Amino acid sequence: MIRSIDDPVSIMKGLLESLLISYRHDGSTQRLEVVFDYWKKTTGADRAFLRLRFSGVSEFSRTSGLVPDLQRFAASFSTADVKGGYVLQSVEIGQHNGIRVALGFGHSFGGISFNCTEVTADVRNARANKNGADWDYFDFDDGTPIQFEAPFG
Amino acid sequence: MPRLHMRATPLRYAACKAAADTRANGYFGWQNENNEFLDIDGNVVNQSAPDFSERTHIMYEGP
Repeated sequence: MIRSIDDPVSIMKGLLESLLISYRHDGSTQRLEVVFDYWKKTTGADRAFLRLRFSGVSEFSRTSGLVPDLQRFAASFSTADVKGGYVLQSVEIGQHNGIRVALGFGHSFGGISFNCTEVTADVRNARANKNGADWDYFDFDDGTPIQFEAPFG
Repeated sequence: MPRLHMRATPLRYAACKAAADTRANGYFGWQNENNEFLDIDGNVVNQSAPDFSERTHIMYEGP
């Protein structure tokens, strides 16, 4: 079950060092979705995932990192498309044409920044079963299979 | 010998700033040249492992 959680701005500030799973910016709908591994799992769950959904997104910008090859990830990123991974290293939130947000994913990757009018947050808890060298995930509440790279479908 | 780099975490930065005395506490993270995350023994930790976060944040205590 996907649950909405309150106070997404505070949630964002507490996400430092969380694994970035994906982000996707859709300029036509002015929406941006960012998914992280989430440290605050419910009792009994093996893992939790967090989705931040920003609406009214404008002035989306990809901040360059030190590795040129990673600049191919501009409007979207999935951890499935890279060998390694990136964690959230910095969060800046201010007021500028609504809410101004800058998320940094380290010196190699760089980050993203944008303005938005609204942000919401959802969490999904999961159970994990080992499958060879990998892991299979299932929704904690109803057992629905979950893809690690796309835990919110 | 693989090239490794230490990811100075924000928590570690905070620990450094707070270390006006002789000791600091915090966490650090290791990643190899492919940006794969390592545990305290240098083993690559699969991102899909449920204990990924715990294994890749290595507790630091020292000067």
